[in-house]
Formats: sequence, structure tokens, C-alpha cells
Amino acid sequence: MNVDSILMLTQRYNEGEKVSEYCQRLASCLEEHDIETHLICFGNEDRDEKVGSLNLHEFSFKMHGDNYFSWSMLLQSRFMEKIDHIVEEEDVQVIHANNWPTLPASLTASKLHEIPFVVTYHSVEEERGMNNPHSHQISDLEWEGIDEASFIVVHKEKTRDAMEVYDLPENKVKLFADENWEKSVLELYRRAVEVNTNLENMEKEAEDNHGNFNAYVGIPSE
Amino acid sequence: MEILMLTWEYPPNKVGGVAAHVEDLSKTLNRMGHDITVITFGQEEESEVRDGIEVHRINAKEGPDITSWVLMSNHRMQKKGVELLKERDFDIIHAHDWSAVPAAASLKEVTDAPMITTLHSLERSRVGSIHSDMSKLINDLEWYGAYEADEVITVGEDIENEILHHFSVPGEKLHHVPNGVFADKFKKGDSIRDEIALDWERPVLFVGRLCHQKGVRHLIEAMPKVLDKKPEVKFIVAGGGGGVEHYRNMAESVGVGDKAHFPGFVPDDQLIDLYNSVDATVMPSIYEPFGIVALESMAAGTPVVGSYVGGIKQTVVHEWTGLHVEPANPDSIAWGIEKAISDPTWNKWLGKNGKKRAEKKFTWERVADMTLDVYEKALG
Repeated sequence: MNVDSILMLTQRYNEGEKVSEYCQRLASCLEEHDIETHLICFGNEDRDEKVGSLNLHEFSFKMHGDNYFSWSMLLQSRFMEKIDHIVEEEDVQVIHANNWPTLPASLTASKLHEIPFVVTYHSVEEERGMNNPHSHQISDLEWEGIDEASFIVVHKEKTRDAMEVYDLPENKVKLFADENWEKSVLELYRRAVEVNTNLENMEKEAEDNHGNFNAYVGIPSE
Repeated sequence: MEILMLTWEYPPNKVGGVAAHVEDLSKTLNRMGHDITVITFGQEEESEVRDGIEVHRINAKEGPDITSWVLMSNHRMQKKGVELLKERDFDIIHAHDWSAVPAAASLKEVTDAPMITTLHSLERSRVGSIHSDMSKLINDLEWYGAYEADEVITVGEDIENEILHHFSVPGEKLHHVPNGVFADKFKKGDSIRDEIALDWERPVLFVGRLCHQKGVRHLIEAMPKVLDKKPEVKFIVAGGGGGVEHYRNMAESVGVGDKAHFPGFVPDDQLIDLYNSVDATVMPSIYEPFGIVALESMAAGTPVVGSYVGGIKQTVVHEWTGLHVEPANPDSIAWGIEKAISDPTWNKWLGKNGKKRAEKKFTWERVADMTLDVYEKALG
């Protein structure tokens, strides 16, 4: 299955920061396969520019939450708005969220635009100790991501083990702990697109059959 | 028109007046031929058709604070909205208060439908000032709701001025649409006077959340002053909220414990009977963007003694349908109560005028027409 364009989301992009480097490394691998990567994140200013292999779309946001959780949730409207603009202009085939702060917008946009979405959990709240005042809400969001994503990527056994509390769907969580994880993620994108296309075809077929219901059950048309 | 209403409360879940407002407006618009869909918070995910209105309840895990719960709920509202958008287009997205703003703003972004925000009250006036991070966030969301909306509806002229002043919203975007009342509903109550007072007593009613904003403290301070001159008065202080015990103790401490009855939250059917059984309804509010209690009491033919604040300035006509008193002034509140009940003939005349005013000026049909005008303007 051909993949040309991926849309990633992370809360902030800072060179040297772990999740940012992860996005950059993945984008670099995708670029080698002629796949374009867009990355949406919050930043100090509004800017759209090429940074390494990434097409960076940074947005500013002036509202402050009363805590980190609220602020992260407030950002979702802006993430949605940005996703909407990019999807209008690019033929995005997969939305890739990183951690819970980008989940709400990713999964809602995935539903709206019928684009499969994948999430990487670099860690989960259970693993982080559940000692944040909003841990139960964060954990709830992480479960929602597991439930709605096409695939969940983790890179540590510790993360996958911590996720056992979620009663994981079989084959949905992929542990890529080896050096060539980028290629595994690319394969996963292809698989997600393929599954989505098959589902769309099945839906279409069901609709067509429904449209020809009379013929389908042997009733001659008038 | 296909209208999507977003509100944190909708009957049977009721905390403040927003639930009743959205339900009555939706029912009236529906009767006028419009399709209304409501997305609201609930105990669990469920959908139902209630009096012709399609109601979808979403559920989100509660957190340590109201804002995180509201924002989680907004994510779920937004997701439900997107699910509905797959089946139909909405002409209007209408958010009620700050607690529905993030979802409405997101849905506006992904549709061509204009967004309308109704601000039923403002945080800065509800709590007196913006003194905490939580209040600041709520205030910011109220601003955001006004900023993102194509048109903003307020329920009173005072709150309209507050928005104009504090949020710098262009005046042409602001619309004052009052609340309404189904007057017939309040006319039909039974008198339960003999259940709430002795035969020589004159019951006076307060209805509302027992909190600072409603001026309960000032009413209790006024009680001994009223009883000095009119010992026949009996106060019924109806309403829930965290303050019931506090205010009951306060009434004890000023020596009016036996003359002030605190029945707690009173359901609608009993409330109608109460309105129809008392000699006056008192609204000693410090802040009252609209004050639906005044309309309900007037519809039942009971005069209103209300603070000269917010919506009470518009609903109550001084010495015609009731009396205006100075907010936070126990002497003035006591004067108003005494005067309203002093002459039974005048008391009845005030009640009759109030009933006429409620029936003519504050019908839901009129409110719905005004709301439709705002929708039409937003649609260009």
C-alpha cells in the first residue's frame, strides 16, 4: 500500500528533546522513502517551515490553563484547526499522535476526516506512577487512544507491561525496541492505510447492496 | 434550520437556570419547525429523544477540579459532534456558557456553520473578582466564547454592558435576548398555604441556590426587622447548594429560626404550588444576570421584591408588578417585604399586573423569535 504523506503531532518541538528527536528521526527515514512528514506542535510563534526532514507547523496559543492538564486540553482546539488546514491541502494518509497531550485532537480529526491514526506512547501514566492530580483523567485518555487507534507503538517493554492494566486488544500494541524501528513504523503505516482502505471498500459494498436491496433479495424492480 | 445546542446541563440534570433555558428554547424552536440536537454532560453515554429534541449525553471522568472535568467533557462533546456531522450538516452551533465553548469553537472550525454563544452569567461577577487560576481560566473561556462566536447573546442589559466593557466585543455582535416563561405552567399550581404556614401567617418565598451571589445573608439580616413590624410573616427559603446548613444556622443566630423554613431543593411541581401559596417572592440578589424566579413568580400572580440589579431591573416594574430594593441592604429588603404585603388589595393588584406582564412580554415564542433573528444575522 502506497503512503505519501504523514501528519505527526507532538506538544512541543525542541531540538534535542526526546520526542522531538524521535519525530525528526522517523521523518528522515520516511523522506528516504519519498514520504512527506508534517509535524504540528505548540510554540512561541506561528510558523510553517522546513526543519530537517520535517515540515514544521508551529502555532502559538495565549490562553493559560489553571494547570498543565487543563492547558493541554485547551490546546486541542488549535491542534484541530491546524489538522483541518493541512488535511485540506495535503493528501494525509495517517495521523500519528505522540503521547496523551495530542490524543484528543488526533482521534477526533481521524474520525472527521476518516484517516487512520497511530499513537506512540513514549511512556504511560501507569508507568509514571499515577501520582499526578489528573492521573486518572490522563489514563482515561490513554485508554481512549488504545481503543480508537489503528495501532499503538511503544519502544520499551516497561511501557507495554505498564499498559497491561488496559486489557489490551490483541495485536494492536506494537513493541519496536530494535535499531530499525523507523522501518517497522513505516510498515505499520502501510498496514493502517490498507486496513482503512479495506474497511472503506466493505462499507461501500454494504451501501451498494443496501441500495439494491430488492434485487439482492430477488424482488424485481417496478 | 438544523441547530446544534451545546450545554453542560440539560433536564433532568439541573443545577442552575441554564438547563431550563436550553430546554424551553429548544422545545419552542422545535414547535416552530426547527430540528434541535443537544449535546450535554451526563452520568453515562446515552441518546434519547425527549419532547421532540434529540439529546446526546456524554460522560467524562471527573478530576480533582471542575475545569479539568469540563475540558475532558468538551473533548467528548466534540467527538460526539463530529460523529453527528457524518450524518447531517448543522446550520447553527449554539454554545451555552463557558463550559461548552471549547467544543463549540472546534466544531465551528470544521464546519461552515456559524457559532453563537449565549453567556448566561460571568465568572467575574459570580465570584466577585478573578482571584484564582481557575477563575482566570473560566473568565478566559468566557472571553474566548465571545471572541470565537459570530454572534453573542446575553440574557440581560447589565451583562451585555459587562461583556462590552471587559471583553471588548464589538457592540454589533452583542444581542440582548431575555429569558422566557411558559406562563400557563405557573398559573396552575395548587395552594399549599396551610402546609407551609399557620392560618394567621403570611408566607414569603425565596427560591434559588443558597450562595453569596443570591444575597441570602442580607435576607436573613432583614428577617428580624420584618418580624419586628410584621410578626405574621413566615419565610420559606427554598433551594439547594452547599450553604443550606450555614444559612439555617445564621437564621438561628439572629433569632428567627422558627420563622424561617429551609426545605432544601424543591422540585418544579412543588415549586409551582409554592409560588401560588405565598404573598410575595423575594430576590435579594447581589448579582443576577436575568433571574428566572421573578418571571415564574409573576406568572403565578405573586408580586416580586427584588434587588435593583441585572435582569430584575427589566422584569420587575417598581410599584407595578413588585418592588425594587437596594442590593445588600437589609433595611431596604425589609422595607420592600413589608410594603408588598401591607395592603392585601394592593398585593393582589401587583400580582395581577405581574401575571399580565409575564404573559405578554416574556413568552418563549418571543424569545425564540429574537434568537432566530440572531441566527439569521449570523447566517448572513
